[in-house]
Amino acid sequence: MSEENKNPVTEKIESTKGGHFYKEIMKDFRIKESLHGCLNCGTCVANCPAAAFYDYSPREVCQMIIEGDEETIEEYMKSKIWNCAQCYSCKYRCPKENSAADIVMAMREIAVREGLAAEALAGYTRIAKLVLTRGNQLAPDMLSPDAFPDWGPRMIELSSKKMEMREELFEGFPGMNVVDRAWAAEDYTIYEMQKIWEESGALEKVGTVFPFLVDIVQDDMEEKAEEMEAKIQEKKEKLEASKK
Amino acid sequence: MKTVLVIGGGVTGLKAASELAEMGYNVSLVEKEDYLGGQVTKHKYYKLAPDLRLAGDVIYPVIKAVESNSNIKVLKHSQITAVSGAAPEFKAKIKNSKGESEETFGAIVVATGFDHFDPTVKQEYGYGRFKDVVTNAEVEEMLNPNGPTKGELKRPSDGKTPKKIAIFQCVGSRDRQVGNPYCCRVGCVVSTKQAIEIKEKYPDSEVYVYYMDMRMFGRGWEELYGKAMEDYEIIFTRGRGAEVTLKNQQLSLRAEETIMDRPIQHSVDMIILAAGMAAGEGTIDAAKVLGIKQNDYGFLAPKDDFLSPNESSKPGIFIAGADKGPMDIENCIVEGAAVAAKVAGSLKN
Ligand SMILES: Cc1cc2nc3c(=O)[nH]c(=O)nc-3n(C[C@H](O)[C@H](O)[C@H](O)COP(=O)(O)OP(=O)(O)OC[C@H]3O[C@@H](n4cnc5c(N)ncnc54)[C@H](O)[C@@H]3O)c2cc1C
Ligand code: SF4
Ligand code: SF4
Ligand code: SF4
Repeated sequence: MSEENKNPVTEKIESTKGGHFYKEIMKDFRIKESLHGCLNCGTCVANCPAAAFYDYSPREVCQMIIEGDEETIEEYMKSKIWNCAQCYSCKYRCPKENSAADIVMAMREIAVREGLAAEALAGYTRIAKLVLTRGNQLAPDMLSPDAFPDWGPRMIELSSKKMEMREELFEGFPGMNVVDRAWAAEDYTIYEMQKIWEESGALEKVGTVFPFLVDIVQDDMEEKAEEMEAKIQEKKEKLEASKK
Repeated sequence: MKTVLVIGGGVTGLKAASELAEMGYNVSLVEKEDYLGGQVTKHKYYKLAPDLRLAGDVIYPVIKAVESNSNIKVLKHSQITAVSGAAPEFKAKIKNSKGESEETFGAIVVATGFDHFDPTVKQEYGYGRFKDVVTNAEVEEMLNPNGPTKGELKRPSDGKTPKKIAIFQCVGSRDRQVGNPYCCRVGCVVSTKQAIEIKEKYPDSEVYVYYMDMRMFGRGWEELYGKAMEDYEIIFTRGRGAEVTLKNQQLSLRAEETIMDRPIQHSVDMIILAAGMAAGEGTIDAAKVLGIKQNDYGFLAPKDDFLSPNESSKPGIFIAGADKGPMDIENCIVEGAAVAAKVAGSLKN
């Protein structure tokens, strides 16, 4: 038979369940609690904000894990699971008490670890950079009407007078006069956070998705290092003194 | 001759009582309400699945067989408050408006039935908040010419006949969130029957059934399902009703059309919840008073589901009908007869 005449039926000859990614997922402690068979009832999909806007379905997530097909799992880890908003509606409505939300969370961690997430997360570079260098993720100037059509007409009004609204915030709010971050965290706080990321290995993980961000963070830390380390030393001494 | 105590005057208890009386036993039938026939009478069932036969044609002969038999003493508005002794000599306290009396019985049959699942628990369906979200039992009452709407299907909000009607299957059944993972075993056939009754009466109406599986295992059920699709153009959508909201005074439901892989919102005029069967308060009370075992969901547990399906965990106390779990009327009648035979056998020994 020629290639064109081939029946488009998927032929299942050998089981593809039990591959590497599948095993990694099943090892995660959350899976057993999050999947108790699936009725294919669609309650999760009907309530899912991600399913309303994207090619994504929490029911499919559950079915995919039950089937365990390695290729499909890999596909999902590269793209579809990143559409989930982690709102947990699926979990609180599922008649089987499944949680696509938790399955997705576990799969995301594994996807990052396994280097499958880079492409899906490319669009989040700016958010990641903001978190790692400023200590918070959303900034008023990111909120433009074109980027968030689903936020409705009020968005247009709000985004046109960002600065005026910020300036009306209460005296002393650490972000009163800025729109490039939600609020201004102190340098010391940011430095402390960056240290935690570095020492816990989180920064290295981030590097698997956004390699250049590691350099940016490390440069940022280096710049502040002398002053901040002195502060840390000072704090330590104070603490010691108070213990005596 | 020993007297048998039958608790519960639904179709099961009635059948058990009349069978025993015919065998020559004396029977005291204790019913907590002031009517006989159980849920069938309470909710004014009009037509029965699968034959769309008048419920009265089934329930009246069963009631008549009891009322016309002089071996049976019917005690309505009565309840058992305490039971002592053991087989074949139980002493039971019977309480009613006239006071409390104690009588001796050779055996006890428990036929206390079920309660309809209360859908207010499933808040996302809006039952109790939105007037036009109703239960299947309420629809039974409406469709009966002797019911509150004289046989007309009417929206409680404005008394109008709805044009677009959605029926949600498995409400309070097959649902771990509410602690009822079991199947209600009648919801599918009852909804199909109600959909047909509605289409027969209002051919212009649109009836949509939101389901996961249509479980049509009883006599004639699958054929009824076929008729619903072929002759009545009832639309069966494979997806569980997920949520109900009110948009501009119009009910709007959410579900996934799972076959088409797409989430939908659907505006309708009325939503019928196929509320399942739960262990009734009366059954739970009886289990306590008698000290017999219940299963995880509160229904009465047979000594052995296969080998002694009508014996409770205590000798001399027998169980039958929908107090053991969801059951349709045909099977309740079989159970009533079966338990009578079992009781007669035990009293002979
Ligand atoms: C909406 C709906 C529609 C249905 N339609 C159909 C149909 O079309 N066809 C069909 O085959 N089946 C139908 N069924 C199923 C049918 O209702 C049951 O099979 C039947 O009612 C069960 O009979 P029963 O006697 O076991 O219990 P019940 O009908 O529940 O009767 C039990 C009786 O015991 C009494 N009682 C309870 N506790 C006590 C106590 N402690 N002391 C004294 N008395 C007590 C109650 O008051 C009641 O009268 C339907 C069910 C539902 C939910
Ligand atoms: S947690 Fe994710 S999958 Fe679940 S309902 Fe929310 S967006 Fe959908
Ligand atoms: S709600 Fe639960 S049972 Fe239903 S399709 Fe989703 S995961 Fe499966
Ligand atoms: S009988 Fe039908 S409606 Fe009732 S729980 Fe079973 S599948 Fe659902």
